[in-house]
Amino acid sequence: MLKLETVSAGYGAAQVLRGVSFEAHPGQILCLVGRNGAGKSTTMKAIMGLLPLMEGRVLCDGAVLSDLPPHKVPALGVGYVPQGRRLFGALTVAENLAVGCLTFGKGNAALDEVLEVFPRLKERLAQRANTLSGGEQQMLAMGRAMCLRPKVLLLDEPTEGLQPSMVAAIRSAADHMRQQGAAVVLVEQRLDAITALADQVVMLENGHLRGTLTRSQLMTEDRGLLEAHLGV
Amino acid sequence: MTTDLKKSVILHAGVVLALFVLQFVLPAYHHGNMARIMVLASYAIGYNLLFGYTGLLSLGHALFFAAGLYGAGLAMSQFGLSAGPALVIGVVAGVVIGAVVGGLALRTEGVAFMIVTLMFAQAGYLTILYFGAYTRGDEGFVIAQTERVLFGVDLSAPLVRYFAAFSLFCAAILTCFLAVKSRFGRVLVAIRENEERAAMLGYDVAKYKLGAVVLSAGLSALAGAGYALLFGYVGASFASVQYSIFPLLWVLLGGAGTVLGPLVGTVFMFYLIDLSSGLTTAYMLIAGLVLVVLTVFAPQGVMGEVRRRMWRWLP
Repeated sequence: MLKLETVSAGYGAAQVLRGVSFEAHPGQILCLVGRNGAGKSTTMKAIMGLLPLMEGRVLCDGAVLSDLPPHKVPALGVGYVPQGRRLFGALTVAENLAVGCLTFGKGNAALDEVLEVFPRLKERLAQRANTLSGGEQQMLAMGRAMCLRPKVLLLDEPTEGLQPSMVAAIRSAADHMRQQGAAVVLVEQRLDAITALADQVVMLENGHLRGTLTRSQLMTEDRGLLEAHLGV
Repeated sequence: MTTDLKKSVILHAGVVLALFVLQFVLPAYHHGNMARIMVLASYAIGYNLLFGYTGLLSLGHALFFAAGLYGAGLAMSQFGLSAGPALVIGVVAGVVIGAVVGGLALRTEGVAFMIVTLMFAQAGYLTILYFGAYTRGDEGFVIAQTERVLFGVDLSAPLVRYFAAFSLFCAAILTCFLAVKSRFGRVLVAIRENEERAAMLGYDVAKYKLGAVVLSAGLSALAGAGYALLFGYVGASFASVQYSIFPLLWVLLGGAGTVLGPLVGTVFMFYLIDLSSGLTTAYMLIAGLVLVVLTVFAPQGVMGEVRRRMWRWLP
């Protein structure tokens, strides 16, 4: 569904990603792991067209995303929850979700689904986003992206700095999206989350692809390899 | 209709009703002032759509106000058109200039956007002076009372002028209210809050920003054309940088990103200068001090503070 072919990207002259290729499949969670500076967030930005590619291309269902301006990428079914949430703080929860749902006319059905996944948001609909707790903000950021009913959902460290109950809710939502048939690309640093959720793990190091693990490999002999790519 | 929306409608309808009733109770001096304030507040409402809701700080809005002012004024003085078509020409002039300026200025952002809009406005101001044979340059020109007639009604008569200014203000505030409550308005706020995220939700940010510039320019031009017809004077001072700064001040004082803020800010500034100039010739010193105090204690402007402290539902 989502395919990166020898993608190289960076910031200005500073190259971060160097020929990275992988494929995320529908109904699966792909965990992107690597130490700080490995190029995880840069990969997400490159997929969304927020960084120009130096080499390679990104495809979604055969369409070349890297040829499109960033605002056209979501139209092809790619939702993105960046690190740090980046909500529309002055808008209420309901308005934030409406902005997400209105884009492609997804409307109330998508909104109802999000509120079912995150019942906490239902109690906060009239509250301004910048007054929510960190966990609730993350739920809203994720819910807003889910309003697009994405075929591919990119989540950049969604559980970073959250308390355990919130972490569970976010993971459960990622699992829900997988069950809905979406390809979920999850940047994650916690081993327990990776082992619980991942169908596939892609390991990055200094912008290079250092290997991929399937779920069965993850549960057996290559766990040490994975652990070497976690942490700061 | 949600409870918050009901409260908003009641509040705004109440303010409009109060302005309507004021025309029957105000003494002649304040009657004239309020008519002028409502036209200028309409200009500020147009400015607020761009600055308060979209987060684009323009320093060239005098160009749009002047487009309406001169569009209507020259249509009457040079082509002998009546007030109705002149008003339409003024608004169309503002919209067209808004689209052109927006299309070019939006290629920049932040400080560069401010500078580019300022330069366009200065170019407009100098153009008015350059074509002095038609515009009468700095001196400006007067539209005769006999020409300021709309649907057979003399717009210069105090009661009519007040009512016309009131109608213009109602049109501006209704446009603003509907715009900010619509999908379009929500997206503008989303762009103001986080442009990149809005794009990541699939919105063509450039198109929405251009839409905001055009709508803002259209409302500013409507106010400019209204000013020409109601007060009968068309002058280059309205195209100067001062008239680009004024709406920014009115909106900041009243509350950027609030529907009522521009009215509150315009009333406040108008009477602050009016009253302080009656006390001393150094009235700008008093005005400046009051502005500093207000900015320190109400950094979000009057209505912004009201929203923060009391009425979170205020649009």
